[in-house]
Formats: sequence, structure tokens, C-alpha cells
Amino acid sequence: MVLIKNFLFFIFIGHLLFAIPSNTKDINLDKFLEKKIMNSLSKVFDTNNFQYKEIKKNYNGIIFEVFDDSRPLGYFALCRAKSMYDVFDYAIFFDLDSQIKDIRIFSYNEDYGYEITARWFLKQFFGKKAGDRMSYNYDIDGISGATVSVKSITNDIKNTSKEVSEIVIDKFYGF
Amino acid sequence: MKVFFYFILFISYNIFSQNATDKFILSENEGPMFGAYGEVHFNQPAPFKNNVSTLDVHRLVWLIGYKFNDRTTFAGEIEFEHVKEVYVEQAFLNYKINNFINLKTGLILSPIGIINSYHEPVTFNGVERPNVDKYIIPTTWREIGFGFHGRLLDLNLNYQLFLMNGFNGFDGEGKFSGVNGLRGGRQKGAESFMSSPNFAARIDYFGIPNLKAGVSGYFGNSQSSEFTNDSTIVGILMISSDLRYLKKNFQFKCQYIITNLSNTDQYNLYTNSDLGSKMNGYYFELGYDVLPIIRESSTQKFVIFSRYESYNTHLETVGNLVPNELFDRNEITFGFSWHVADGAVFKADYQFMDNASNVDRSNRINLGFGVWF
Repeated sequence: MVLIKNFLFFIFIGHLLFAIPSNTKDINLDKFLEKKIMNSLSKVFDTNNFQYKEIKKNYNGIIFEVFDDSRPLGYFALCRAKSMYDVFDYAIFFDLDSQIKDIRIFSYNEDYGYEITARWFLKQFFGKKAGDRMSYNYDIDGISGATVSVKSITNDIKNTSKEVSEIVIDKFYGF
Repeated sequence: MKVFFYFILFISYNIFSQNATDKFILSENEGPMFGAYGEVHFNQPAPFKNNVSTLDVHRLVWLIGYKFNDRTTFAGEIEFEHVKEVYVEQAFLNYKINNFINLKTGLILSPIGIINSYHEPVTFNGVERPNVDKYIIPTTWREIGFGFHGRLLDLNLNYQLFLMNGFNGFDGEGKFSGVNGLRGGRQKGAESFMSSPNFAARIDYFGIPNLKAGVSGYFGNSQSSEFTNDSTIVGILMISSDLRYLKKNFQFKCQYIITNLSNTDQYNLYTNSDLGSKMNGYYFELGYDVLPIIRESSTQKFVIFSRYESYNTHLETVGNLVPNELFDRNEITFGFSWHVADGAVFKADYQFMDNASNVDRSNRINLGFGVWF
């Protein structure tokens, strides 16, 4: 009995310690989000005739491959990153060479740091790929009062780019 | 044995909770959120040999939040000011109606100016907050109310519209004064009373690279316990605009606010006060982070800054009241903010304080640190 009590107590403490900072939530592909993704996909890949399938799920998000009837078009990743006290969902779009073509943030709830949703901020990542420098405050401008969000999305994009480039290398040069 | 059992549990919990694939499949409820900010100050007025210094835990604020689901959030801030005063700084329930509109209700910050909304010590330069944001905008200004806010991401706009309780202008005695403006009338949601609600709004535009521009407005009547007595009520109209620019090492901030007060003639006669009929204030601030010059990969920031501010609580007066030149104040502040980590800053500055009269104001040295996490 005591052991069970201790066990439950421990789980409770464990929750406090680990559940708070982790970004743990199913990304809900509601109609709004799906529409936004479809719009972005047709803009980035310049076609309305495409499909996508999930190819990898990892700590940064879910990576999808985009293709049309005859050939692959590129990739996109659905990600969740941390802001100061909350999380936000966004998508990164890659071409076949794993170069970033576009980034869209779908919603940002916090009162701090929402400037990262602006086009001018996200454009700083366009054309970059794994291996390119994406350093906070040098290649990527900081935003006053939004250090956490800027660093978090910068690191997230860096990691996801690396994963996508590994997929590309695996696919075209792997065995 | 027991210790070992706990250790295994600890490790297993750690592993499972941090497991990569769990990220998108774990529970809806993300648990309570905790945060805090605080600042400790040392102020030494000049001349040093004739003035004692003051040392103060100016404020320590605990944030407790809870995300009930994707749409519903509660945030509460409990503030200890000068160690011995306890306040609730914010306590609101936010409901996300859709991606563009949120309903917010409770004890909320009036969205006027920069510092009233963003007052965590790591977000501004200077040990003390700008005095424009003390005497003209009575930071931290919060009242109970409700309203809508949201973001139009495609347009790079953020908006806030609130109907909220106003200043206590009279509850048996007058609360407004010439020197402090409306500051003494803040009710802070503590057994506050209302005779007529006030309206506050703000729009921020963040579509221009590295720039954030905001305009805010506030209007309504002050609250009075004798609400049928016109002489106890002041009409308030505030308009404010501000800019924030941050590019690499360079930062620039400015803000302008003007407050028009009506019926101050009758109010002053009835309450024996000296409230001005127009107040204004503005500041410009330039900052430059010098650390990247020395070492490009530095994770710290050392921002050297200077700020000029001017504010006048007696810009205009009506009736027999003659504008008091002591209330036409200006300050030049030089100093630095040494950000040793994200969310932790040491600050030091020197303030030249002046006014339009022949009576001198004491200059000051300020030292302090601030944290936010």
C-alpha cells in the first residue's frame, strides 16, 4: 500500500518535473490548418495536383514527402516549437535538394514574440539548408522580448533541415 | 532497495516522458505553468554625501498559468512589491474563439504604451522603468474588465479591445493630483468599484522588418462613489503611439503619449486638488550591444544605452490653476544592461533629472538586477 502511494506520489512529482517543459500534444490537423497547408503547398510547388505522405516522425515534428503523379516534388515538416510559456505550430517546406522554400506559422497564442510570424522574419531562413549557418542574432535577427521563441524556432528549423537532408541523402545516395 | 526502486522509476519516467515519438501523442493537458520575474534595486541620489541610498526588492512576481485545453488558458500573477505589499497583477481567463479572436476576462493590463504590457526587467533598459510610464501611463495599470484580442497573421496585425473598470477619481476624497496625474486612482482590482466603464484599445503592426509600431487609445470617465455629483468625475482621453526597432546590435525605442482631461476645473475645486487638464510625455532610447564587437559568438549581451524623456503633468491647466513648472520634468539616462543569460540581467545607470523651474532635482545612480523565466 505504502509502495503504491509512493509510486503515485512519484508519478505526480515526475509529472511536475518533466511534463511542464515538454511540448507534448498531438498536432490537430483541423480544417483551418489543413487549408493553410494545402494553400502553401500549391504555392511552393506551383501545382494543384499533389499528394503527400508521412515518412518520418521525430522529436521536431512530422516530415512528409510531397509528390505528384509522376515524380517527387519536395518535402514539408509539421513542427511544434516552444514560446515562453506556450507552444506554436508551423510548417517548413523544402525542395528536393532539402533547401528551405517557405515557412508558415499557423497560430501563435502568446503575447510575447508574435513578430516571429511575420514574413520578414521567416524569410531569413529561405534558401538555407542543413550545414548553412543559422545563428541567432547574426544570420537571424533577434526580437525584443522574444528570445525564447526566436531561439526555439531557429534550433527547431536547424534540426529539421538536418533530418530532411539526411532523408534526401538516403534516398538518392543511400543503399 | 527503496532508493534503487525510486532511481529506476525516476530514470524510466525520464526516458518515457522525453521519448521523441511521444511528442505528438501525449495528453491534451499540459499541466500548470510556472514563471516569475523580479528586480532588486539600489538607488543613490546625488550629491552622495547629503543623501542616503535606498535598497529595495522592488518587485517579485510569481506567474501561475494553466492550459485547460488548446483554447482555454488561465494566467495569474502574484506580486510582492517592496517586499511587504502583496498584489495580484493579472488574473484572467482567455478563451480562443477561433484563430483570429480571443475572449479575455478578469484582471487585465490596460494595453496602453510599451512598458505597461511588457514590463519584465529583461525587456527594457534602465534599472527603473521610464518615468513617462509611471506618471503619464501609470504602470503597472490593470483593472477588471473583458474584451477581445487576437492576431491577423496575414496582415501582421495584433489588436486588443477591452471594456474595463476605470480610475477611482473620488471615493470620499480626490485621488488624482498634479504631481502624479492619474496614478493615485488605480484600483488594481482590489474591491474596486465602478460607476461607468472605460474603453481601451491597441493595434500593433509588425510587418516592417525589425520594426514594431503600436497605437493605443483609452477613454471614459473616472469612477466616483458620488456618481451623481459631476464635480467628482473627470473625463479621460489618452492617445499613445510607440515604435520599437531591433536590428543586430542596434536597438531604438520611442513613445509618445498625450492625455486630455475634462472637467478638471470643477474637480479641483471640489476635491481641493491641482490636476492638470492636459498631460503629455515622450521618450527616445538608443541602445547598442557592444559584445559582438569583441567576440562574435558571445551568448551574452552588453547593451550600452541612453534615453531622453520628457513629461509634463501640467501641460495645460484650466481655471485658476497656474501650471506648476516643477511638474514639467525631463531626464537623461546613461547606462548599460549586461544580459549574462537569457532572462538574467545586471543593470547600472546614471540619471540627470531636471525640470522647467529653478528648483533642482537630484540626479541619481541606479544599480540592480532583473530576472525573468
